[in-house]
Amino acid sequence: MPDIRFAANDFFRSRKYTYADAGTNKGAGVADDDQSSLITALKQRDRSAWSDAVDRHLHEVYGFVFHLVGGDRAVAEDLNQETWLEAMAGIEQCDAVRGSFRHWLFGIARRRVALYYRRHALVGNPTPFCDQFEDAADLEGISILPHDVLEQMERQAAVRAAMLVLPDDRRKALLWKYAEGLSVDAIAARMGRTVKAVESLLSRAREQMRNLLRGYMTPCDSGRRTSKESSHE
Amino acid sequence: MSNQSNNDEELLARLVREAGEPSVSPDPQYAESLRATILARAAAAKTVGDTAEPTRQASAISPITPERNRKMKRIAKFAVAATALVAIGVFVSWLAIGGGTTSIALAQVAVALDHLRSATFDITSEAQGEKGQPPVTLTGKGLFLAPSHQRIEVSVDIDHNPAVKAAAHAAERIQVADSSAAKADGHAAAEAMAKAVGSMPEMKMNQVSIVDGQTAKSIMLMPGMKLAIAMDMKKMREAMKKSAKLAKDPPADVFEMVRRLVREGSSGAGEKVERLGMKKIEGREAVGFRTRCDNLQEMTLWADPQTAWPIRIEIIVETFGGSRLVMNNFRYDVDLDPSLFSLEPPAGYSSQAMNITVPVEEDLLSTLRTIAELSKGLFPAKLGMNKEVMEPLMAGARPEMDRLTQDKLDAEMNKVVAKYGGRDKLRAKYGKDMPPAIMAEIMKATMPIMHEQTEKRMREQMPLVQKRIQGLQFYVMLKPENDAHYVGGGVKLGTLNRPIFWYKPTGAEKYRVIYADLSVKELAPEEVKKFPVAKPK
Repeated sequence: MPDIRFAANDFFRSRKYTYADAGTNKGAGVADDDQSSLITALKQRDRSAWSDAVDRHLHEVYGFVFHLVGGDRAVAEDLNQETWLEAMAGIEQCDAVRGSFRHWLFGIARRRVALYYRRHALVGNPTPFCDQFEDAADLEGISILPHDVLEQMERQAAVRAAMLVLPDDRRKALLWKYAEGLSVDAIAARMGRTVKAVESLLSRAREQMRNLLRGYMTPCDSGRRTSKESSHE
Repeated sequence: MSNQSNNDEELLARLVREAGEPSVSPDPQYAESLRATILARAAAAKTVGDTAEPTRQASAISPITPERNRKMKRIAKFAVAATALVAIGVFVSWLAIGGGTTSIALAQVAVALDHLRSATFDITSEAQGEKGQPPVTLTGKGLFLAPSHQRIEVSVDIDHNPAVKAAAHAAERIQVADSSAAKADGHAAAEAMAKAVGSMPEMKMNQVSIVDGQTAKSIMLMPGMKLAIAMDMKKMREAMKKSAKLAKDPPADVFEMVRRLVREGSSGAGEKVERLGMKKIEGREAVGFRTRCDNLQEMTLWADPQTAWPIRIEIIVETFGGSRLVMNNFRYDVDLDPSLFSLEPPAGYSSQAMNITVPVEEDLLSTLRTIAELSKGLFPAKLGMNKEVMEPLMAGARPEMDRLTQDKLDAEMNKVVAKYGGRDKLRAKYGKDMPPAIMAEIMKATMPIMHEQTEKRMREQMPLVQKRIQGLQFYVMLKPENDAHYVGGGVKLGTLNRPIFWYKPTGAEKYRVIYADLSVKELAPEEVKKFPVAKPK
C-alpha cells in the first residue's frame, strides 16, 4: 500500500508547491497556482495536505484567537478547534481566486471570535452564520474584528492578534523594525532581501495592520472600507 | 510622507512595541489532540463520508400500524416512538451559543462516531399516551455495526391493559348473567386476573427492527407472532431525492441521526449547540452538549471527555405529539455477529413485504375522504394520530373474529372451567372474587388463539392501514415553512366552496387549498388570508 504522505509530497513537489507563499495573499482575485494546488488537495481531504496545514497554521490561529479572547486558554482552545473543524467542513467554499487558505482560515477564526463575543451578550445580535464564508476569504481588506466587538478588546491583545494575521515575513519585519528598532538595512541583511524589498514588505505590513486595527488607528484609509464590510457590520 | 502618515507610523510603531512578540503556543497535548482529530476527520471524510455517505442516508420509514383495540393502538404508538426518530427527515440548524469550556468539543464526538465500528446500547423510548393516559414506554437493546446496520430489539410496556381487556372478555363469558351488575363483577374479576397474568411472558409485545441503511432495506420481526415484515425504502428514497419537500434524506439509523446532528453541530452548519460542562453521568465524568433544531428535535449528549464516545444520548422529537428517546449503557467496538443484522426472515417466520412510498397530497385527500365517510360524513376536529382520526381509519380495517376462532376460544375456556366443576359451580363458589390462578389459567389457554387472531389482523390490516394513514404522514411531514392550516372540524364532506386545509408547497408561491368537496385549487397568499382563522399546524 503506498505511503500517503510520500504520495502527497510528490503531489506538491510536482506542482512546485512550497508553503513559503501560503501566508501571503498575493494574487487575490487571481487564482494562484500554488494556492489552487493546496486548496484542491485540502478539498480532496488529502491527509498530508491537512497535516501540513495544521503544522503551519495551528499555532498562529490559536495565538490569534488566544489574544482576542483576552488570554483565556480554554476558550481559545475551543474557538481554535471550532475554526479548524469549520474549515474542514467548509473547505469547498475556499476559493483560491479570492485569497490564500491561510487568510480564509483566519477569516473563520475572526468570525468565531466575533460570534463568541456577541453570544456572550456583549454586543448586538449574532451575525448570520451564512455570512461567514463571505468574509472569511477576505481578511486582508477588513478589520481584525467588527468594530462593535473591537471596542470591547484590550488594544494590546488586538495588536498581538493582528500581528499574527500578518504573513511571517511581514510580522518579522515589523517586529524587528519597531520592537527591536533595527534599520531597514539590518532587516534586509537578516532576511537576505534587498532594501527595496524590505521597504515594500514593511509598507504592506503597515497597510495591513492599519486595516486590521481600524478603530485603534487614525482612519486614514477609511475610504477603502469595502462595501461588503459595510453591509455586514 | 504626509504628517498623517507619519502619525500613523508612529502610532503603529508604539502599538507594536507595546504589544511585543505575539506568538503563543497552545498546550502540546491539546495541539496533538486537535491535530489527530483533524487528520482522522480528513481520513474519515475521504474513506467514509465521500463514499458511503450517499448510501448511508437511506430513509427508514417503518410502517405505523395502529389497530382499533388498545393493544394494537399501543403497538402503533410503539411503532411511532421507535421509528419516528429514524423516519422523518429533520432539518437541523444550529446556533452555537458558546458557554463553558470543556476538554473536548462536540466535533470530537463526531470523529469518534465516524470511526465507530460497532456498539451496543440500551434504548428507552417514551411516546405520549392518549389524552389522560400515561406515556407508552419501550425498553430495549440496540446494536450497531458499521457502516449502517442497526438492530433494535424492544418490548412494549403495555400496562397490562390488553390483559385487562382480554380478561374482561373471558370473565364476561364466565359470568353468564347479562345484567350490568354481573358485567361489572366480570370486570372486577378481570382486573384481578390481569394482575395475575401481568408477568406472563406472553404478554410482552416484542419487536425487532433491523435496518441496512446502505441498501435502504429493513425488516421488522414480531417474535410473538412469528411474523416478518420486510420493507424496501429505495423507491421512497429516490422519490424523496427528487422531491423538493425534504432538504435531506432522513437518517438511516439512530446512530446516523446522532452522527449527523453532532457533525452538523460541530461544523457550525446548523444553529444551536449549548455546552453543558462537566457532570457525573451514570457514575462517570462526562462532558455535555445540547442541540436544538426547529420545533422538531432536541438532543442532549454526554460524552467521555477522554475518548469522546457518547455515554448517554437523549433525543426529544416533537413530531407525532412528542416522544423521548434515551440511549445509554454503551459498549463500543464489541464483536457482533453479522447474522444479527440479516434481512432474511428467520426460520419459521411468515413474511410479508411492504413497499413504502412517499406520501403525497392525493394520499391526504384519500385519508380525509375515508375519515369523513366513516365519521357520519364529517371531517375531524383535528388532523393527526388522535382518537377521532384513528378510530374510523381502523374501523373498516379490522376483520371480525371468525366463527372458527370464536369456537376455539370457547372450547379452550370451557376446558379450564370444566376442571373446576363447570361455570355454575365456579360462580357459586367464588362469585366476583375469582381466584387469579384460575383466571391466569384461562388466559394461558386462550392466549395462543388470541395471538393467532392478532396475527391475522396484522396481516389483513397492515396494507390497508398503511394506505389509509399515508395521508396523515403527508400532513405530519409538512414543515412550519409550509404554513399548513386545517379548519375542517365538523364540516360536512361535499360542502362546496368551504376550504378545510391549505398549505404552501416548499418553493411554491401559491397555496394549495383543499375544499370540503375535496377539490383542490391554487390560490395566492392574499386570498388565503381571507379564510377562516386557523392556527398553523
